[in-house]
Amino acid sequence: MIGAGAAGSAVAWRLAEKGAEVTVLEQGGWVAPDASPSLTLGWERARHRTHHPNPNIRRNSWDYPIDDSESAISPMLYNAVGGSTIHWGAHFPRLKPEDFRVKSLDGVGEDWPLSYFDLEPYFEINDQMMGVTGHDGDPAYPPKPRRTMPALPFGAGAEKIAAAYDRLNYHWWPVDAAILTADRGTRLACNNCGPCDLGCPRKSRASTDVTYWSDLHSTKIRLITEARVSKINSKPGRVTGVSYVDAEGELHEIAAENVVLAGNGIGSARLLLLSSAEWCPSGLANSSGQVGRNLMFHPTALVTGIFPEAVDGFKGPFACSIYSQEFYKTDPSRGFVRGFQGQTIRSDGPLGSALGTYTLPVKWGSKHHDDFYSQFGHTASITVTSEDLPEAHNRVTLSPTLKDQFGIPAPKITYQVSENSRKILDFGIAINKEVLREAGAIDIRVVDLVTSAGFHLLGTTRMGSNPQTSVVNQFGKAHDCENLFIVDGGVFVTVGALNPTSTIQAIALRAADAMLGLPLLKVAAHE
Amino acid sequence: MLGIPEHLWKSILDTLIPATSNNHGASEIIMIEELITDISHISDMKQFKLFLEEIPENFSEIDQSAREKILETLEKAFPDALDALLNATYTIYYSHPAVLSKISENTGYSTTAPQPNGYVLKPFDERLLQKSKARPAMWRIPE
Repeated sequence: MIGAGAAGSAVAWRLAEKGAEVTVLEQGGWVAPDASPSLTLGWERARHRTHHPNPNIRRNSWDYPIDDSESAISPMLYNAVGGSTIHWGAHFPRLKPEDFRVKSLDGVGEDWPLSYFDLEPYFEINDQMMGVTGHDGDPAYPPKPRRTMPALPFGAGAEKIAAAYDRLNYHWWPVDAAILTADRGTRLACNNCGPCDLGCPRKSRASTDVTYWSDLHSTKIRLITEARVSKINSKPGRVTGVSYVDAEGELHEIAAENVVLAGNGIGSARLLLLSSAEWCPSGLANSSGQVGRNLMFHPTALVTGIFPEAVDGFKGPFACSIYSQEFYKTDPSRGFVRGFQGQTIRSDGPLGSALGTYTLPVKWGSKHHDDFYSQFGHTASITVTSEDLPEAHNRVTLSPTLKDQFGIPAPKITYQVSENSRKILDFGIAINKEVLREAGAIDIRVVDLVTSAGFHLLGTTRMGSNPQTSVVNQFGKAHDCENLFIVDGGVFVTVGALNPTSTIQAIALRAADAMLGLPLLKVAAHE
Repeated sequence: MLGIPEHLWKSILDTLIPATSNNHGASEIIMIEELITDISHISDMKQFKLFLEEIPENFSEIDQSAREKILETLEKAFPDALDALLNATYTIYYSHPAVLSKISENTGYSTTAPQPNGYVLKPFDERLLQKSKARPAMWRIPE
C-alpha cells in the first residue's frame, strides 16, 4: 500500500481484517489529535502558516512541493497517517446515482463502469467506520440507513438560510458529516469549536488515523511512516515492488505481490509518471496516455452574506450545517450542462475574518475597523461547488525543474476553469445572492473563484472498461499491470458537484474485496 | 528593516490599520522584525524591496488620506507585494492578545482557544425540515 490517507487506510483495514499481509508506506507520520493548534491561542496563525492546507505554503519536511504556476486553482493536501482527513472539514455527501451516468444523461464526460448501487453497501460500511451524523429522508438521495446520531447544530446563520430556501421553495437538507454528535468509544461528541481543519483533539471529527487505524486488530499489517516512495518497480505487465526514501534520505526497496496506490489524484499520477521503465517509457500504467490527464477540482465560488445581527458563525464545524441540491442537474435553458451544490459555510475567527480566507479580506485603511466589525461574527456563506468535467488538457505532469528535498521531481499541475464551469459558477452566484438576500443579508460579497479551494484531487487515473481511454478498471486494477491497483480520487470518471471522500472510500473498500476475490456485497434494490 | 527607517514602517502599518479611540493601530502591536520575517516566508523579497523603494521619504509626514492614495497606486504596480504586506500585518495583528482582548471587549468574543471548551449551540431541530420532507424525490435511477 502506498499512502495511508482516506482511501489507503480503508483498503489497508479491509485487506488486513480479511487476513491479507499488508505493508503500508506513508510519506508523513502520525499526528497526535491533542497536538492540534485549536488548543492554543495561536490557532488562527497556525492555520495560515504552519498548518496551512497548501503544502507550498506550510513547507513541512514531509511534504512535496507542487508546481501550480499554470493552474487557476492551488492544490490542498496533507501527508500523514490519515492523509488529508487530518485537515478536512468532514462534509460527507455521496455522489448521486445520476453522477455515474453523465455521458448517458447529458452527453458529456464518460459513464462510470459501476453504479451508485454497486457502491451502496460499501458506503454503509464506510459510514459506520467513519461515524456519520445526519438525518434520514433527504429527497435528493435514495434512502440511507437511519443515522444513529442527530445532525449537527445549524447555528443562527444556517437557520436563516434554511428558512430562505423554504420561502423560495428550494431544496435543502442537513449535511451528512463525519463528525460525531454523541460519544462513541474514545471519540467524544463535537463541542462546536469551529476549526475542524486544524485537527480534532476530541476525535469527534473523523480522520482515518482515529477511525480505520484505531480499529485495526490484525497482526499482519505493517505501517512504515516517513517513507517517501520514489518509484514503483516493474517488469512487463507486472509490478514487482517499490523503492522508497526514508527520513534520512536512505533508499530502500520492498518486493510485493501486489501494489496498491492511494497517493491522491496528484501524488499517484506523479508516482506513475516517475515509474517509467523500458517497457513503459511514458509512465507506468500509461499505455492509454491518460495518466495525469482529466484533473478535476470542483471550481468553487463563495457568496457571503453580512447580517445586521450577530450570527456567531465561528461557532460550530465550519463546513458542515446544511446544503442545497436544487440546481444540481442539467437544465438546458440555463446554457450549461450539469450544475452545483450550495454548501452553507459558517465563518471564521478574527484573523480568518480579516484575511478573508475563502471570502474577501477586510478593507485596509481608514475604514478598516468599521469593515472588520461589520463582518466579524455577522457572516454566513454559501458555496457554488460546481461540477468540473474531464478535459485532457487539465493535467498532472512532472516538473522539469522543481524537485523535493531528495531530488525527486515534483508534480506540475496545469489547470484552466472551463467555460461550462464558469457558467455554472456565475449562475450559482446569482442564486446564492438571491438566497442570502431572502435570508436577510444587508450586504453580499462574492469571490467568483476561490483559488485556494483545490481540495478535491480527482480524475487523473480514471477508471473505465476501455484500456485505450482509461487507466484502471472498475475495481481499480490497472489495465496494464495485473497486480497494480489504484484506489484514490484519481479513479473518478466524473466528479459530480460535491465532496468526494465518502465515494473515494466506498470505491476503495469495494476494490479491496475484489483484490481478495471475495463476493461483492449487494443491497436490496430500491423502488 | 530592509533599508527603510522604523518610523516609515510604522506609518505604513498605521495606514493599513489605523488607531481609533477603541482599537489599536498596527504599529502599536507589530514588531517590524517579526513582520519582515513573516513576509519573507510568503513573498518574493526582491519584488517586495522594489515596492518599498517606491514609498516616498515624506510618507510619515502626510495625512492618512494621502498615504492611502500612495499605497493604492503602489498596489496596482506591486499587487503581490502589497498582498504579502497585508497578509503578514493582519496575521500578526489579529493573533496578538491585546487585539483579541479588544475584540472581546467590543463583541463578547471569547479570548480563549477554541478547545477544550468549544461552544454551546442549540441542538438540531427536526421540525425545521417540515417543508423539505414534503418535497418529491430528487434522485432517479438512470437508464
